Amino acid sequence: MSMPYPTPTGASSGDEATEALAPAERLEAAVALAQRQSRLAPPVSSEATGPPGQPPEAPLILPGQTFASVSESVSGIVYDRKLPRVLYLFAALTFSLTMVLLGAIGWLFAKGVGIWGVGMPVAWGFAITNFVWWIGIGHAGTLISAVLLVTRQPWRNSINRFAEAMTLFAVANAGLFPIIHLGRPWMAYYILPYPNSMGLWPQFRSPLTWDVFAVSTYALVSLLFWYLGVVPDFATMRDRAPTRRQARLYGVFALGWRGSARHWHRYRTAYLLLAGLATPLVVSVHSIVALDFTVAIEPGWHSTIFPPYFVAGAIFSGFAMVLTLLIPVRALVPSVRPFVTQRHIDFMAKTILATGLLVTYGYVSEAFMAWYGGDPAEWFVIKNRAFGPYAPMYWTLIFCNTVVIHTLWFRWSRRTLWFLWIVTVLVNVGMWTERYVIVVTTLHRDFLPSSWGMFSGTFWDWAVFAGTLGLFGTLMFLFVRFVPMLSMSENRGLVAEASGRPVPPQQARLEAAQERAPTASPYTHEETLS
Amino acid sequence: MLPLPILGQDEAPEHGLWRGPADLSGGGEFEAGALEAPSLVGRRDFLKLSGAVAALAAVSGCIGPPERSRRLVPYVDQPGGVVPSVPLFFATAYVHAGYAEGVLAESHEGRPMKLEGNPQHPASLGAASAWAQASILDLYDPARSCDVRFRGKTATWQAVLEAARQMRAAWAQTGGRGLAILTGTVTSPTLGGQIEALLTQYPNARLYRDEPAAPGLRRAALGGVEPVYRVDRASVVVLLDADPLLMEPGAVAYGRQFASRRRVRASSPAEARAATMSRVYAAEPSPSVSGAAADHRLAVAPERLVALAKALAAGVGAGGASVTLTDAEAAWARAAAADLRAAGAASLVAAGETAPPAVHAVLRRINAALGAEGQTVTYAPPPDALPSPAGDPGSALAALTREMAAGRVETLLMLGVNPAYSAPADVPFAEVLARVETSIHLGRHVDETAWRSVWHVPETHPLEAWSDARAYDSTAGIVQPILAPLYSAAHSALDLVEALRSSADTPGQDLVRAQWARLDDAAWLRALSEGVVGGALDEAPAPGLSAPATSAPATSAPATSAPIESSPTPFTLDLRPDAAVYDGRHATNGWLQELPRPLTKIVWGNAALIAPADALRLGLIESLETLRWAHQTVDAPVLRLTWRGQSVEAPAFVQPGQAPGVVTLTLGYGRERAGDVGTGVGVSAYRLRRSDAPWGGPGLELAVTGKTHPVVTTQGHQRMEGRAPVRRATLDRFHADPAFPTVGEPADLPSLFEPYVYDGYKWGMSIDPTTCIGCNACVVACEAENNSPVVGRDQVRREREMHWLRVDRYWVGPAEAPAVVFQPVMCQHCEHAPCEVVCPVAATVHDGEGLNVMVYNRCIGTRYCSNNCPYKVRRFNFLQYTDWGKSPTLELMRNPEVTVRTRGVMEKCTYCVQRIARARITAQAEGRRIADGEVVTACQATCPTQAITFGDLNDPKAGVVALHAQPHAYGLLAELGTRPRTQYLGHVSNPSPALAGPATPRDATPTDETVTPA
Repeated sequence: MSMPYPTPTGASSGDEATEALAPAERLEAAVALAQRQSRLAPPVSSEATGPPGQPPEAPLILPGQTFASVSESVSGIVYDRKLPRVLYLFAALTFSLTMVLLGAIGWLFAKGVGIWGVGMPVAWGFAITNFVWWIGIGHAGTLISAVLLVTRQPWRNSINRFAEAMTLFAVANAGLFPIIHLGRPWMAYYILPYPNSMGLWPQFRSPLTWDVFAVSTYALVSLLFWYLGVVPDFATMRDRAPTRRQARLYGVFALGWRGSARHWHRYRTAYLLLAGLATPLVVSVHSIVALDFTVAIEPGWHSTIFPPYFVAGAIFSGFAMVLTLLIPVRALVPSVRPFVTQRHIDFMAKTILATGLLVTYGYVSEAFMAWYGGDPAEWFVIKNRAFGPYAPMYWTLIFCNTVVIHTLWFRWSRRTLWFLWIVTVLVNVGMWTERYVIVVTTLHRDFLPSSWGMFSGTFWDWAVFAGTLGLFGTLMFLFVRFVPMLSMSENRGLVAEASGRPVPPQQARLEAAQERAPTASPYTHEETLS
Repeated sequence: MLPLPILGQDEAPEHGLWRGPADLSGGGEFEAGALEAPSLVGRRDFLKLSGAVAALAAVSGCIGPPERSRRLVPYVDQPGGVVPSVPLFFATAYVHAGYAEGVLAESHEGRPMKLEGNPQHPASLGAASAWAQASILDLYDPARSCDVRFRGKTATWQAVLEAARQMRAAWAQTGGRGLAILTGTVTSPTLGGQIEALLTQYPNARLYRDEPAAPGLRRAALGGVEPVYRVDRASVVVLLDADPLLMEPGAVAYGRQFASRRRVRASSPAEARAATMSRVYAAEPSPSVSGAAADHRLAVAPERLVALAKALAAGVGAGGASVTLTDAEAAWARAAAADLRAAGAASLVAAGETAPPAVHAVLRRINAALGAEGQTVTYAPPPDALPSPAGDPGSALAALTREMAAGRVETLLMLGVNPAYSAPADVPFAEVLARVETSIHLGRHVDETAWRSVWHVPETHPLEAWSDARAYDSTAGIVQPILAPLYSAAHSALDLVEALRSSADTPGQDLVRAQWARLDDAAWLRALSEGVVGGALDEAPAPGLSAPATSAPATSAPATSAPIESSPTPFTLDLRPDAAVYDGRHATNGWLQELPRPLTKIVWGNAALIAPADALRLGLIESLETLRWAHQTVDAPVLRLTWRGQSVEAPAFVQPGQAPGVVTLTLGYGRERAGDVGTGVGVSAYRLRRSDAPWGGPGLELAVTGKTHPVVTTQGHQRMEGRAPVRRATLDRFHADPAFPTVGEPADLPSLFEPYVYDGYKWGMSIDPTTCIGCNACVVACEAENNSPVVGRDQVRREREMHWLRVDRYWVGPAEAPAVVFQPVMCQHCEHAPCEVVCPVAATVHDGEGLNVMVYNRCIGTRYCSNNCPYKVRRFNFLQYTDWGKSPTLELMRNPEVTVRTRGVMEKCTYCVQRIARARITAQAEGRRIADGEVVTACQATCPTQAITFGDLNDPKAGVVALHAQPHAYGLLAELGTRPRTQYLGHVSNPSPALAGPATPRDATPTDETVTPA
């Protein structure tokens, strides 16, 4: 990779047919070539026209887009530097909150977790609530990207990048909490299986140990998946860079991508493999986080419903968070609108409704089993949630998670963006409240009445929580500002579909390349790495 | 020269080695005698030696040791008898409000760090009170006074001696005119003798006695004698506002005696059927520890006690008097009287110091009529070494204050008292103190009185100086020092009185020895080593009391006691000493401040205890249901208490079992100068107190101020909620079905796991809630043994107290007249411990002897173990609670065998694993197994009622095995499959069949119903 990016005049070997063209044109030409030579039969998706017998749905990409306009629009968000002022105000706010986070964590490390409201019996409070909440939010990205890729849902293409970035940042926030909530965070590495002189390993029976593996694996795979997906776009950014510095910077991240057929081939293989890896992780991470509670002996936690119900809740909150972010971005950044259409939003709203119903089922089942099971402590916890001192929290979560979502049965609700946005915000609030209720109401009144107590967050609890919101917003802003927030390569594929020739460009290029160089082994061909 | 492990005097500073306070203050050598070669290494010599060694151990002066000197220097030549790391035990006595409680001081290389009860001492019998346990913290209290003060400036003991010389010269002329001496209760024969000698020397001097929490009303009412009980001989005990299990000087012994008649065992069905218990009746205005232990507790206003006593007297045929009683009172009195009659001489009727004086004479008649006098109760002269003040016991301080106000007191010597704080509201002692030309205060703190005095002399801790003291039954014991005074300026009362008496400057040791001159050297050494002076050798009861009044006491109550029948307002003020800080003297002690009061569980402050019905009427609570729930989180409404023209504001605390119309406020709070710990905590009840009615009386006016103040408690919920952590039955049910706690429960829950195999030891514990009286001694003992930090009021409010052992207290039955049960809960050392599975770093693990052990330096503080602990016995260092490096004296106090925990680390009861280790080392060295009873946990050792038993479950002869095999043994929350190592016995009570109703426990919850058949 001696050459991070091709100069317009510099010719590298291979793909000579398109090499002389400007990048955008090269792609268009490649796709055109692919269209010519395509042997792929029926369209992968007929979403644009809807299934037979149904009225045509809104398109996944608004008409009038060309390959060039896709690149232009998306890279323009970065290069034009003309984001609306309100986004900068938003950035100022979130950046301030990030500073609050740093300050709060600094004070936390200086004094100890006693600055929070935790005590005995409620030894877990905001930190674990936030951890579970953020992990849940971190589910949407991978679900949208990996699961929908594997199940070939092309509507994912315009929102996957955004959702994946959100996932990463949410997981980064989530990953903060298991460390900072420790009594001795500087000893956090004890939880890792590293070779040490005492031959001591983590205690593998503890779900917290499983958490370490689950969350770090998830974070790693999500990062790789996201990064792999963005590599072709970094190349586009590099190629379209107005200054040499930017071209060099994006070139580093583009890893020498030049869009050769071999690149595409390996890219697609790796992407699919990672998607395959990530798909079970969507289920595993939150299942294992749920096991933190399930494995415990505590009433209200010791329940096998938790893993599936947590996964449903995670997807629920994740999709809500995607919409919470996407709706304002779409409103504020006009160039996003052609790619994030009403139809995407509609799909996501429906997913929220579906997962919300699953979560509702979880609540009902939990309460029913507590009653049916006959364990007085278990049944007490359910009653105490509903009518105890934390009843306002409980009814907030019931309202947000099981009542409000029923508005999404109506098309108006799904299409009226301000309304939908309020719903998604409420869902986020409801899911945070749900985690809070699970963590706190169980602990505050468990088995021995003599040890019952109360919990309430302190200023520092709220500061850390608000700080992570700020960090999340800051990272999202930086992402929107510096990374192509929509997948250009995949949207160009949608353009191809929308133009009536639904051929995935990468696939087409691959086919084309294989035709032209049938003898070249993909494993020895070094041209693109020269 | 004694081979002391120090360098020469001139070398020391260069090497940064610092030998003791003398170096820092620049004057003097070691304490007298410390450097003298012992002619024989006897106890006395060793004590001097160990005192010197302690002085070497980086003892702090006021300025603390220089940083460089913090080196560990091994002994060059090891002193005889000292094996590093092997503690030595010395018999001495803890003196509380004048009365001795024999203790053994555990000394580690010269540092006493724990007190245990002295089995040979009658007031201890091997156990110790919470106060005795906490006194070790008094020794190392960083707030202790360490300098002589003269008019607010630092002075020296030499200056005191010089001033004393001048005073002696002046008094020699005047016969001590203008000299007044104010003491608390003095039972020390030596100090009493010294003061008597002083009074003889200066005949015009006057002596006053002021003991705020024990003014002697009972003694006055009984004509100068005090009752001494034999609770173990009583089958029926009736208590009229008496708290012999906590508040009497003999409480520890009474606890042991009480438990001996309450313990039931059922090793065989025959034994179960034959089990007997004493039956206890109690009538009191506010729940006390003894009232909680009673089978029938009646909440009555203080003014009803006389009527009850008279009814009892009539019932047992000890004089007739017709009184009108309410139905509940009459039923209680009828049942009690019937039982008393049946028991005859095996019965005991007792009233406490706080009871109305008129009660005592009636009770004495009852005891005499029953034949109990001489059996269960002996009326004997009190062990005081000084004559009781003439006249009204409460008036001594008032009389002194009048003298002072009149300018007739030129020199006032105050020995260990704090009247500027504890004077009643009508005695302006603090104001007139300034008029005394020379006021001399001896005390361990620069307290309210020291602050206003001309001279203040820091007092030694009893572990630092020679003295002697008598116990509740007049048994004398020698108080011997375990270490040299931490502060060289500190002197004992003996030293100070000696300085005022003569120029001889006789050391306290010689004074004590001279007092006990009739003991030969062997007897003296035995008295020292056993902690008691043998009965035959201790003939003189008390020098001040020539003729004990054995005749019938004056029947008339002191004129001061208020008329009882008519009260202008519905409320009665009820003052009483606090169960932790007593009369305020312990307010500087963080352990006691943070010790949950037995019944209320309040810490760090007091509150106006008010009956539920009154609280409802005043609108303080919405319903009785709120009493179940968290007091901890509720800001209590502040009441204004106005009584005889004085008023204070105090937060209201609704106390189930409080007599309606009675508002109880404990003494000892609202200190103005009690160090960082005690200053400004709570409300001073002295501001309501009148010298003519020290315990209050009718006429209290209450006003709701609208303000709130948080009352911090450690137990947020008051009921068992049908879960029956304490499983209760009556004695009748126990006879029929001793296995009542486990009815309907599977004997053993299945498990997927292979059982652990224990080839060696297998530790286990058994706790008997029937005999647990909730006195909290175990809690303090655990803190002292295990270096538990004090966290402070705010942290307790955040539910972060660090007690490894807590005593749960549940109310059973209606809020107006509930039964009370106590249950000490510490780590249960589960066989299948839920905490162990969830720790991600294996910081809490099962060991080969069945202990669930914490590895502190492996713990990263996820707190998952605590969440998963169904008993919630784990404690977490949310902040840096142990103050490292801030107070050198507290570092000296720490048990070297127990790790001091840092912040972020979980901790919990270890079954005193260090004691197991110590016993194991001994046993291994001797090539044998640890015998039963060789490992005694700190809580077990101090328990007055022996409710805790610990031992090896693999030893078939161990006591704990027998207890685990009892049919009424059960594991707390065993239904969870945790298989706890600690087992509880079912709680058995012995209600009278004649009484149903309030005394029969009933709870709203079905489980309590089922385990407590009516």
